Amino acid sequence: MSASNLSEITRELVLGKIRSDIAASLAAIRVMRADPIVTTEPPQSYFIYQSIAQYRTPAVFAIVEDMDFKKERGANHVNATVKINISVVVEDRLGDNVVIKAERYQAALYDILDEAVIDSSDNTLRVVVIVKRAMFSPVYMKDDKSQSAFRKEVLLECEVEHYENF
Amino acid sequence: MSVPSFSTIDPTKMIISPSRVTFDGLDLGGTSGNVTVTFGYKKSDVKADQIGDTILDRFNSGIDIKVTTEFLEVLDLSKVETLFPAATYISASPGALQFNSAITTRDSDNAKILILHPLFQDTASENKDWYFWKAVPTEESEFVMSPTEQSKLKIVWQILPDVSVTPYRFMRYGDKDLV
Repeated sequence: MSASNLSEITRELVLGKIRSDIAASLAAIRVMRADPIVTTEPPQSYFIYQSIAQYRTPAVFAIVEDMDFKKERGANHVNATVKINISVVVEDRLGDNVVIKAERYQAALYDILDEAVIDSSDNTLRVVVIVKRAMFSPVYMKDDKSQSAFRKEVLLECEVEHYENF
Repeated sequence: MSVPSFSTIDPTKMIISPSRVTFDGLDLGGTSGNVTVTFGYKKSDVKADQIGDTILDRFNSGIDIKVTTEFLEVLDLSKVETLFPAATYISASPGALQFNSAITTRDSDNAKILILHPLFQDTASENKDWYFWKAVPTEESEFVMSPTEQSKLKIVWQILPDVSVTPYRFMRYGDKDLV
C-alpha cells in the first residue's frame, strides 16, 4: 500500500509557498504603500513549534492545530480540512513602526496564501489554502532592552482543504 | 496491515475557486453567495402499461440553464443597468435607472455573452471557463437595505439558445474556441 502524507506535507507545502513568494509579495506591498517608514526584509527564520527562547525576526511560525478528516463528506480519499496558524513576529525600535510592520507582513502573507492552490511534487496531494482570520498581538517589549525593543505578532488562521490520494 | 482495495484519486484535478463574472464584456466585479450554474436536460419518460410506472426509456425534451449570483457593486449604476436591460438608464452624472413598463421587450434582443472565469486560472487561460453565448438577466431581484447586511442584488441569468449555428448552442465548460 501507499502511505499517507497528511499534515506534515500540508505544512511543508504552505511553508514552501511562503518561502518562495514572500520577498516578491513584501516588495509589492512596499510599492503599493509608497511609504518606506519601515523595513520589510524577508523572514530570517521559520519555525514549526512555538516554544523558542531566542530567535531572529522577522520570524514565521507554521503551527498545525487540527486536522479534521470530515468523514461526513463521504469521500473515498483523504478530503480533510487542516487548520494551520501562520504567524509572523516582527520587531522595531519604535512602537508605531512595529504595528505598521506587522500589518505589512500580514498583507504580504495574505496575498500569498489566500486561495492558493499548491500541489505536491508527486501530484498525490493538493492543498487549497483559505485564510479565515487575522489576529494581532499587543505590542510588547523585548526583555533584553536591545535596540529593536518592540515586538508584535500577527497570526493568520488558515483552513487548508487537503485532497490526497493514498 | 492489508488494504483490500482503494480508489485511484488524482487530487490535482480537484479545486476550490471563486469566479469572475463578465457580462457583455464588462467585469461585474464583486459578488457574494457563490456563483452557481444550474443546468439540466429535461427528460420525458417512456412507459408501458404492461409494467406500470417503470421507466423504459427517456427522451430529451429540452434544456434549461440558469446562472445565479449576488451582485455587490450596487453603487455603480453603469454596471447595475446591464443587469436590468429592460429598464432605462439615464447616463447623465451620477446616473439613474428608471423602471418603466417595458411591455413587449424581448429577452433575446438583450441576450449577451456571459463568461464565468474561475480565479485559480490565469486570466489568459480560458480552458476552465463557463461560456454562455446568449445570457439574459431575468430582471427579478431584490435589494437589501440593512444596518448589518451588505446591500446586494440577486441576479439570475436565463441562458437562451444561440440560434446562429446548428445545432443551437447554449453553453460550454472549457475553451470556447476549441473545435
